[in-house]
Amino acid sequence: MADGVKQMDQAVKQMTMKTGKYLTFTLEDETYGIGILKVKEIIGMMPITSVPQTPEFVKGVINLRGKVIPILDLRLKFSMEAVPYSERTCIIVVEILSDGATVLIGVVVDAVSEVLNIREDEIEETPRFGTRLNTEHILGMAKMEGGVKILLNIDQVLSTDEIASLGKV
Amino acid sequence: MKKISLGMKISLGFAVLIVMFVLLAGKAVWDMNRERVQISILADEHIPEVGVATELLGAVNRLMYEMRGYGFTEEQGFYDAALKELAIVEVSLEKARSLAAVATDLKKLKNRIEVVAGALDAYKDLSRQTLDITAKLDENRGVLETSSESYMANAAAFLSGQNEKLKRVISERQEKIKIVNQFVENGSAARVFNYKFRALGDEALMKNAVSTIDSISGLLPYLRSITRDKANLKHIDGTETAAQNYKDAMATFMLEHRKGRMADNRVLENLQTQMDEAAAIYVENCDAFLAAQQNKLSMDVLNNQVKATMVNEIIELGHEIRVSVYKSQALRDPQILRNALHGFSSMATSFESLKSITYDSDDFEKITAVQSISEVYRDTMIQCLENWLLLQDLGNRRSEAGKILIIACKTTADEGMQATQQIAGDAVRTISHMSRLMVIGLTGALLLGIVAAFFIIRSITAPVKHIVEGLSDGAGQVASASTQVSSASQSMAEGSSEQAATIEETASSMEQMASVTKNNAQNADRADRLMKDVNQVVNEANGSMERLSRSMEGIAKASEETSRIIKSIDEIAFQTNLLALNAAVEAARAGESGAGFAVVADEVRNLAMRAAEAAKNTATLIQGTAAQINEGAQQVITANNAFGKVSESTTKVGALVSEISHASKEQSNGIEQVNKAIAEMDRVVQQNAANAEESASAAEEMSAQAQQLRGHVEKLVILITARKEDRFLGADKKRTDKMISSPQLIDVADTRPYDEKKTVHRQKEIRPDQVIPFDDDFEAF
Repeated sequence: MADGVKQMDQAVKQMTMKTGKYLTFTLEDETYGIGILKVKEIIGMMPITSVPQTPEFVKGVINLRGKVIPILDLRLKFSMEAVPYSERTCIIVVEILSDGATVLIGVVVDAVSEVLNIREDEIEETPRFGTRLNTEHILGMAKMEGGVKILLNIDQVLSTDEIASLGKV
Repeated sequence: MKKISLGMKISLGFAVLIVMFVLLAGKAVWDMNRERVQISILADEHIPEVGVATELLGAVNRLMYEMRGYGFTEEQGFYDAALKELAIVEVSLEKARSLAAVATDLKKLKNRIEVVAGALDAYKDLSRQTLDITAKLDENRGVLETSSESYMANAAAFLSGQNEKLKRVISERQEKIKIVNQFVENGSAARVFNYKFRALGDEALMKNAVSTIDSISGLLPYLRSITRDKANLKHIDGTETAAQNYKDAMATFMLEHRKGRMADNRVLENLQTQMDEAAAIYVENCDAFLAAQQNKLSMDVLNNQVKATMVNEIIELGHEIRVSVYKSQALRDPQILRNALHGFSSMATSFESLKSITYDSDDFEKITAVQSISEVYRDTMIQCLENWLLLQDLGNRRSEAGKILIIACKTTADEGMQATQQIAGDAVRTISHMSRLMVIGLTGALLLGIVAAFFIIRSITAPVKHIVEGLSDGAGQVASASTQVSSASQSMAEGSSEQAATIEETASSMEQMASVTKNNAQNADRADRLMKDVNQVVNEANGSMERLSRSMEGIAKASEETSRIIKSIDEIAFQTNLLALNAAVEAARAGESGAGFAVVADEVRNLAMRAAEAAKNTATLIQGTAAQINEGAQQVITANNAFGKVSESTTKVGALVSEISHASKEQSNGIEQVNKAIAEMDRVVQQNAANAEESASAAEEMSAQAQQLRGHVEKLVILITARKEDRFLGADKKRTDKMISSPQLIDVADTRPYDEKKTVHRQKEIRPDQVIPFDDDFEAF
């Protein structure tokens, strides 16, 4: 119990602090980051069982050591062009908070890069592209040597209704 | 038409005629056959039908006649005859039945037979009934006869009985009157004695008077016995009583009178009065009796007369009725009988009135008996009338049944006759139609024959004329041609010897050519052998090139294997990277405690990255090697191809050289053969020369044959046209003769044969009808 509280505290702190480790991955030449604590596991591509009557970006479900986990393609989710899966294609299993409960969702990305330690001062606020544009799913931009890495608020990214309903599967 | 042979034409003409005749004959036979069938039906069915119907009709007519006779006369002989006729009718009917069973064309006959049979049965039945009723009628007549006899006898008996009775009654009455007159006389005598006594007073007188009165008492019982009338009996009693009273009074008076003076006058007077009164009563009674007797007598007579009249009347009526009965039977009129029945009512009234005046029970019974006889008579008459009417009715019904029979027979006979007439009419029509058809057909066939003959003759004579013309032409031309042939043969003989000289020259030059050709062949052989050596070398080079390319392929395969290994190393590196990342994730999740682990994970990741890098570099190197190997292999292939081409060319050159050598050999062979052929040619040319001379002599022979042929043609012309026609022969003969007579014009023959041949050829082509078989047709014609 104490462990749980402590973990939670740490997580909250890191989320608010933004400082911490991020798992970076690439999607169409761009590098993105997810807070490492949201990541449960990284697995290589494996056969996906497609589920009828789901949005296009939901690829289906996989059986991960006895657990059925919904899989969605982040490229499709971000309305990018679909590409055939290669041997570099990976699934990042993330933990999502949905209606106060934690669900596991697999996210298909082009390739996983590395775990980076990013400091607060390296992170900039999300630029305002305009009031209308929804930028809630971006935590911020990390200025690194190789360029700018977009840090994703994965909870927001996957907090649409469809995903909420997927979590209940 | 021109393509048909002569024989075919004539056969065709005859065939048309034969077909027409066959058709006509067939039609005739068919019609005759059909008529035969119809007539056989007529003979087998309709005529027997008519016969049977007529027979039946006759029998039925006779039967009806006999039955009618029986009906009129009621003689058994007629009935027996009728039965005989009936048997005949039944036999005829049976005949008709068997005919109907056999016949095919008589469909109505069966029904008719049923109708006739039904009517016949009815008729038979009616005849039997007639017989019965006739018997009854006979019986009735017998009854009538006997009852009329007894009626008359009874009536006559009654009448005579009445007369007898009247006589008896009259005699009785007379006797009575006589007796009563005696009484009256006695009474008068007694009174006279009485008065005398009173006057004289003599008692003897008085006694006389009493005895006189007494004398009547002896007659009284007899009178009583013969008197039945009660009034008369009373009168008799009154008379007796009066007589007694008178007697008593007289006796008393006598007694008083004896007293004399002592006698009381008053008593005497009283007695006198009594006596007078008794005498008066006596007389009165006697008078009354007499008067009654007189009266009765007259009444009896009158009564009797009336009765007699009535009985006579009854007898009369009976006679009348009897007469009517006989009359009705004689005239066969039942109306008379019916009218006669009315007489019975008046008879009944007569009987009633007779009965009313008849008091005698005996008589009454007799009358009743007569009346009952008359009633029996009447009943019998009524029965007789009924039977008679029944008989008449039966007669009518019988005649109706007979009519049905006769009508059925008549209709059958009529129909049979009609069918017969129809069939006969049909036959006549068919035969007349047939004869018309035959006349038309034969005329047509004749006309057709004439036309066919005309056309066939024409179609034969015209071509034959043409043929004769052609033949004569041909004969001339053959003659001239044979001349030309002989001259041509001579020139040919000359040409042949020239040819022989030229051929010898040719043979010598051919021998030189043969030696050159042999040299050529030897050189070509050598070149061929050299080329074969070259070919072997090139083949060896090809083998080593192939081996080289195979080892190059081995290298390429090995490099592929290597790149696969590198790929798996790369994969392992990737997996390791993933593991390192997962470890980093886990380490991060472990927080502070996982910091060290995170470093390790990072290191592992770095190692994995380096392994991947190294693998990538190796892969690049190997790819470079593979590319170079590929290039080498390409070069080898190119070299190989070049060698292949060289080898191909060498082979081709070898083949060409060997071909040349072969050809040279063949050439030398050919030249040898040419030499042989030239020798042969030489021989043949010499033979030709000899042959040409032979053919010249044969041509002369041929021209002689042509002359002969012309002679035959002339004969043929005479045969066909019946005269010699120079038109066909003149010109050609001249020409041929000229040709035959100038065989020395050999040099001209070189120019002439072509034209002549051409004309001959053309003429042949102009007349293809000359090919028609000549001999057979002509003879047939």
